[in-house]
Amino acid sequence: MKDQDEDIDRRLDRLARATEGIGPRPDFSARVARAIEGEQRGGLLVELGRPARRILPALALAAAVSLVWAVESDQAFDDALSVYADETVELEW
Amino acid sequence: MSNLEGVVERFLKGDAAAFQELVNATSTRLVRLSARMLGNVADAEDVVQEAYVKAYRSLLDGQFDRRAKIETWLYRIVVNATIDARRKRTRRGPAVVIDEETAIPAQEGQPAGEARRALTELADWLDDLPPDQQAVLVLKAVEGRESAEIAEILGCSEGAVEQRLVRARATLRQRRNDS
Repeated sequence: MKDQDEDIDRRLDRLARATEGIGPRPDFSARVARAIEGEQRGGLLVELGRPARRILPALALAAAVSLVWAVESDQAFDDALSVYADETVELEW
Repeated sequence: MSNLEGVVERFLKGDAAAFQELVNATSTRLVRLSARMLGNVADAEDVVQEAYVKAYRSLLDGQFDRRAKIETWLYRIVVNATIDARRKRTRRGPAVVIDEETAIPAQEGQPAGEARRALTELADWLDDLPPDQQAVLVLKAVEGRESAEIAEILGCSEGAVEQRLVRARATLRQRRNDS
């Protein structure tokens, strides 16, 4: 078993030495810098999005109030028309 | 305070260029480690790039608590990201063949082809090991890291590191006997 471990260690050692000089390509740092810039832009959008998220409940409430007002106005308009229609009916010759 | 810790300190005080210094100082070791686990440099560059973006975000969010050295912390991010990449690759099937001729620069006194073959041999040889055992074996026997540091990188005890090493060696021995 010890011999086998030595075989494993020798092979690992050979592969470690053979791959010792490996590193990123020369443009890698620039590539990371571009990715970080993208992250900063994304971060800015998130920051801008935060105030919008904060006023979202108020906007939802305003939308609901507007809807109620619109429905009520529509009802009032219908009532006005029906009065006008009744009046027309009464004006028979 | 080590040089790299000083660089992080400057970054946290608002010197944005300091992060690039951190990248320049650590990228070679991190890409090499990831390549040794993945078997090629191009995939390793993708993994390490994402790891740097994550580290950048975490540093700004105050998630680096300075209990570990910055390099150990970066190693932890890269090892976890590499293990994830290996799992995804296993689910997706064999990796797409890429042009490693351009990904591995020729080294002094050592042809790029030899390094490429060695990376492939290492990745193929260790492919059957569970990712955590592979990480321990590469960090210990290929990178030459101490067990205590490996334990810190992987977030486990030194005993767990030794246990994973024993299991990894047993698996490799077994496979050798079977073949």
